[in-house]
Amino acid sequence: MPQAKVVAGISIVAIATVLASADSLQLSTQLQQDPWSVEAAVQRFQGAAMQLPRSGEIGYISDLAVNSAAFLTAQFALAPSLLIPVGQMDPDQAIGNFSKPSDYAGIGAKAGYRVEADLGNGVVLYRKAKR
Amino acid sequence: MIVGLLLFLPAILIGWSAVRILRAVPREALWTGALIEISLGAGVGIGVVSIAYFGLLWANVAGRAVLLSAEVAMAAGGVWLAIRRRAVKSEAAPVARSPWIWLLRAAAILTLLFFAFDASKSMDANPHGGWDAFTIWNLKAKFLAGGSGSWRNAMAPVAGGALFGANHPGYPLLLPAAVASAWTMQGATASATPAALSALFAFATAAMLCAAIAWLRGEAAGLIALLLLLGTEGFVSQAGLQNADVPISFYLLAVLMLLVFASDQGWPRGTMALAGLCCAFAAWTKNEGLPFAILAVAVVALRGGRKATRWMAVGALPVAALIAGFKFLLVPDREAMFPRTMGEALSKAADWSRWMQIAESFIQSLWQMGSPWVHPVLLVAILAVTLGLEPRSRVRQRIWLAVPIAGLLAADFAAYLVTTADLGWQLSTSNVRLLVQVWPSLLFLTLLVIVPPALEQAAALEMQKPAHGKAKRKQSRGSVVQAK
Repeated sequence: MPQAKVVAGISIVAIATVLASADSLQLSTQLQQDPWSVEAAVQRFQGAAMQLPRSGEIGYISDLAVNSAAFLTAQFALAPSLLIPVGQMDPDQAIGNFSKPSDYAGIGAKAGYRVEADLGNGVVLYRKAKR
Repeated sequence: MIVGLLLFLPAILIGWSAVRILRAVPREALWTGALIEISLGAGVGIGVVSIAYFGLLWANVAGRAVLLSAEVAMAAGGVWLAIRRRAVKSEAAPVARSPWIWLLRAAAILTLLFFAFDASKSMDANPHGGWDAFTIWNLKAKFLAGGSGSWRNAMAPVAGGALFGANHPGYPLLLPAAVASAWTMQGATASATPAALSALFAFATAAMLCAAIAWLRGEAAGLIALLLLLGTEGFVSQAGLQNADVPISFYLLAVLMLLVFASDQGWPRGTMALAGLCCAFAAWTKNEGLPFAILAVAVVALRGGRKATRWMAVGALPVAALIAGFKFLLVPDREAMFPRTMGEALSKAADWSRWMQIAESFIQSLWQMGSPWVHPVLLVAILAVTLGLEPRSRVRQRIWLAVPIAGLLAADFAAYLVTTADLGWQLSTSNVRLLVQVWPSLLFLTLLVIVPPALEQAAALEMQKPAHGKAKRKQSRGSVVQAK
């Protein structure tokens, strides 16, 4: 009888853990692809990353809030450069990250920057305007 | 992924040879011993490479050639020393002859396959990892891999923008430095590299838990431990997310396992030094590792005496010195989530509703670790009823091992109590992961007090094998049989 109890316990655990494992696998097949659009940001900023210096600080100009995932994904895409919102610091170069077409030159001018290149898809390279 | 794994091969060799040279694992010829050496070695080696890379960066000499030379030299030298210091050969391993072992083996193979597919799916969906991975760990790795011009950005207080809770200048760097070292050798920041490291830690944790319990309690118990871990949705879901929670769970488990081995063998210095090193690596992985390490040293001081504590400290000291240098010399700012004054902390701690909210969250998080009908806690209860528990005297002998884990959870609770962040937000974004950190250790401790059915036979066979360690180990093994 004790042996039967042991076999029952072991069998329950073996079968239950296999089922739990299968359940986890099924859940993983339902995961949303790139939920924070990190890969999308890496692709969007690829051209900018090649034109910007690989270290140092880069200004950040955007029509999106700085306390948003958009800033963090841009920062990840452009690392090892460090993004600093323009106003906190004004580095020589800045990157624009826009959610929709707008007056990029005007927005940059307000911050003291001129457009150096419009890389498309809402990504703009700025350089500090000479005073 | 394969390239990513190959980049960590020197680290695995370095760690494996360190484990072998220090003779931290009781015996080598058994499959359990070999599996422990390899899995423990993987984590130890990654820690060593992480520390070495960060030290080279700080010294401004972390070029590709220097790094490659250092890793190859350490791996080659380590393997040469390890082979020379071959342990005494043991006889063939005792085989659990239980007729139902095939059931556990088949279930283990299936769950391992499901686990591998699961991690792969998760990595496909999140190629740069989960939220913490791309906002903290992999971001810091990119800063470090940028070399002399950018590595200090990993400690910048502004890297998370203005988003509250995204700036962690003082977070330890084991994971980022290990990834950055691989990227430096690779010459690119391929997303598959941190993914490979994440998978490596997850599999090493599972392998080490299985092998440690198998070594201590027989193959059946080891396979049950593996099944319970891989049947835990909370743990499995973290495997592909490239966060630091699974790596720290590895080091916590490694420390507990080494302390069990050490206490059974008369606290040998090699095992204690390695336990100290793993304590320091836990603190170099996440801040949670610090209270754990302090408590682990404290319990060793009480149980193992001065000599054991000294060797543990010797093992921890080099990494602890680097952590202290990092925290005091390189980190310019403090965590924004902690209160600035004692009065602020006390007023938060005096709020009873916060205690209730945190306690509820811990219970809820425990509930979320698995599906209700196959929940690991339910399965452990079934095992306890059907297999029985160790005699109370034996449980009391092991209860000290729970102190560092209980202390870590208490420290987590206290951190929640005084946090300046929105408590609900912080609990919802981190509490389950805190349980993931201690989960393998909790399963290890649980399986130490549940009697596996094959134990009686296995223990009898163990007594017939030649002793490798000191006489005290024999006595300890004897006490298992006597207790039964």
